Amino acid sequence: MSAADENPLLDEFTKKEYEFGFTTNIEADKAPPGLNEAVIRLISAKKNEPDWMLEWRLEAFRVWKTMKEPDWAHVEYAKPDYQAISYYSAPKAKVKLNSLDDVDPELRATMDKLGISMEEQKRLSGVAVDFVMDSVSVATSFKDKLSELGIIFCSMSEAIQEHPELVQQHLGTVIPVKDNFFSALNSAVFTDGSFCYIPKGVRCPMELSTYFRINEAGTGQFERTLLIADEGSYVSYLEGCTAPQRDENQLHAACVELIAKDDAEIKYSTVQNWYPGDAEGKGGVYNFVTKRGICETRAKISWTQVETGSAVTWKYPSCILKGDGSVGEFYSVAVTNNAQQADTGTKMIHLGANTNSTIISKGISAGHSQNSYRGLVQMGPRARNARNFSQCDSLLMTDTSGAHTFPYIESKHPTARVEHEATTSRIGEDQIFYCLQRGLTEEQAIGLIVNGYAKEVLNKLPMEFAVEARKLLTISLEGSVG
Amino acid sequence: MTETTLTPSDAMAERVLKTVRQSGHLDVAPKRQAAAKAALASIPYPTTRDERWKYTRTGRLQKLNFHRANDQPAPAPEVLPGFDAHRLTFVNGRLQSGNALTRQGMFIGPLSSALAQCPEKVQTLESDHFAEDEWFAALQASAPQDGGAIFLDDHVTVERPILLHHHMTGGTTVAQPQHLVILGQESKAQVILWTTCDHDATGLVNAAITAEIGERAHLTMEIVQDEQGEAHHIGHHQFRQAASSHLEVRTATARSHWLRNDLHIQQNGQHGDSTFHGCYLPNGRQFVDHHTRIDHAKPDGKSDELYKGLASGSATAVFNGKIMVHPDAQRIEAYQSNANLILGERATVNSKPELEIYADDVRCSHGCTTGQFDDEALFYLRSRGLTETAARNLLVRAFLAEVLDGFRPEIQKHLESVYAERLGWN
Repeated sequence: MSAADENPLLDEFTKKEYEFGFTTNIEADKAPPGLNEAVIRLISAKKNEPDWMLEWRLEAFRVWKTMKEPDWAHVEYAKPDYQAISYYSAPKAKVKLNSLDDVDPELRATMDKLGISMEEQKRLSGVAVDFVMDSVSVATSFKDKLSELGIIFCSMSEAIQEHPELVQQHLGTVIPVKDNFFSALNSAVFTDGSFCYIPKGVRCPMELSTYFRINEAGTGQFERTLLIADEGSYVSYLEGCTAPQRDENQLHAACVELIAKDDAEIKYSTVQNWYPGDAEGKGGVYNFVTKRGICETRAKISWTQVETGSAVTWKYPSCILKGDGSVGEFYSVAVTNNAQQADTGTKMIHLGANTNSTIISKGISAGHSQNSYRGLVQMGPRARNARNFSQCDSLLMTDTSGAHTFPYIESKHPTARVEHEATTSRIGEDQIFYCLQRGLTEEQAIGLIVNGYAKEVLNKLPMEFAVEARKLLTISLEGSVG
Repeated sequence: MTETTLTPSDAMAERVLKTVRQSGHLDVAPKRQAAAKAALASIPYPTTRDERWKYTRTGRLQKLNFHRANDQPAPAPEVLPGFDAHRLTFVNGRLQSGNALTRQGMFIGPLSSALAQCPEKVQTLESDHFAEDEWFAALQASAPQDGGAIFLDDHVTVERPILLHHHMTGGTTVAQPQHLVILGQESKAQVILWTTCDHDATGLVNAAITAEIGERAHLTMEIVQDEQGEAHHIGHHQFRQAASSHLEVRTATARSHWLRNDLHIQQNGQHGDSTFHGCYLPNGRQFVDHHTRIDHAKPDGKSDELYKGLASGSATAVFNGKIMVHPDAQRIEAYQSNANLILGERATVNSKPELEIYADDVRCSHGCTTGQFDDEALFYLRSRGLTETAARNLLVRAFLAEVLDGFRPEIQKHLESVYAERLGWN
């Protein structure tokens, strides 16, 4: 079978519900369920970590034990039993499939629709093929190129071994261990993640992505990412991918820390398409993520996210605009369908003078989902001439879904200026009618309208990501107009 | 250790209720009173850890050592002298002057008389369950005091404005007035609710307004809070609207030391129409907090909300507005706007405009701005020969005019003179 045989738009695409059973993994080396100091010592020992790292984890664990799971978000879910989770298992051997024909046809159809190439499809679905050799070599050649520039891009465990001074200096400086319940949990038990350091004045020549390492490390349940852009450097980082991610771990509590030193710029793009559960929301992923960046003088951090997966999302990528003249941006599209619930937004903390932030958030609610924007804009007492503009729009596809906006605007400086606007409306019947009348199917019409609505955000994504994200939006909303 | 150590909030509740009972309270709506007492014991005292009280520090209220006010207080200062209105004046939660007006299909008078003359109407309060989930509302409902009662039967229109004036005297006393407005179908009333305090007042006014607006009825309520001294004020303003009714609530905080207003409008019938505007301008170390919430429970409703504020000195202004559209409440048009100017280097404005929407065919929007003057406007006026102060004053006036213009001219005049004095206008 070749890619040319596939015409995604002509493909009959049945109801988009995951019936695909999770692949059974051959497991080895798994810690017993439960969380206690012994388990943390085990994780640390397995990863051969230095003492300071173990101490740091134990401290986080002690703090976590005193904390309460937050319940202020506009989501309802059965709280996970933290003692029933196994916090460590060695990388599992993937089930090798012989050819793409063995892959679940639904998953393939989705990938086809997303326009993912044959080769990538094989990689993503774990098909053992010769091509992998090629892509590994491609990845290696990229690594050579990066190291020539002095860029360090590796897994977190590798960084703890190879660059302990960088990790020790920066880890937990943006998200302190006691920041919140989930970040404390993550600090205690994280198993891996990405580490990236861009030296002074270096412009990273390519988009860095966890994608290159997908077969090596896997993303894991408690992922920890640390990204340091030294003075005057630039990096664009991609997280996740548009292909549906099926994971047997129901709880995901990741932490992402970004550090942009003077004049540095970080662009962080996320596409999240984890298993949202069935139509009743049973079994989906809980995505409780803490993401935060700190900007020194004239630095810039830009978050772009497309969120379509997970049963429950609790996520507020934030910027601390510490240095004068620093810039924070947040562009988000959050789609909820069926029984999904999302409480997502950002925090822009303006500490320095002449700081500037922009928030563009587009929520789309379908099925009987609940989609909330929750954002904080804070102007500190030193934030002279700081500026913020926020725009939060919500689009409702059905009369059983909900769209909510909870902005928090706190200003302590007379010259700071904050503007916030929000609208909520339904998808226009006349717009759909117009498209239908021009020969588009209803699905295509909705795809077109929704993509137009989310355009301001999608335009901020790196090109190849944007193309897939557009298709993803259409697919996520299939059969959703009530 | 002793087993009967009271928590600070229990001790405060006890002090308040003791003082209120000494100076006299009304036994209205006994079931509600009992429920409120039970709630008071079970609801935790609000702190900044509560989402609804995030920006309101209530600790200082627990430190107030209330004492009973003089039984024969001096007459309350006259408000709007010469203004023709049916006046009822209350001091520290007790009637001071004004008569009950009883005609065919109408009662306008103190709640204490209403309790004797039309107890069935007063029973309406039993259906108010608001006090069961708010600590201060529960405190108020546990021992309500006298306030205005306005009951109009179907098709009754009262043209003459009704002025309810509540005054609190000096010292650290406490008053918990309860005002009740019940409008029958197609009836119409204009109410002015005016609160004042003596310049040496440091106590607490914990006041409630409960209004039931019948089908196609029309209620205009102008609330003026002009409190001198260092008094604390918590207002619970509850409005329930039947189908096709109109409600206008305008709230002006002219002077206040520490103020929290909770305005809650429920549109329980189709085609409800609500307008609620407000303005506030704390300075010095003052604190003003306006919480509003509108519940669109039935389809085809409209609401228009506009709150404007000015914070100078090291004052704090808070606005929290919530638009709630319930499931199946289709074709709602809700508009909310909040604008704030910060004039003081140490002033703080916290704003939280919220939308919670469970129906799809709606048009809801909100806008919120916080900042200072538009430099270009200031430059334009200065280029026309105005001094910087004159230009700023003009811009402040223009900023507030949108809200002030909604008040009747007499009140507008009063507010402008208070604001002029406070902001140093000429």
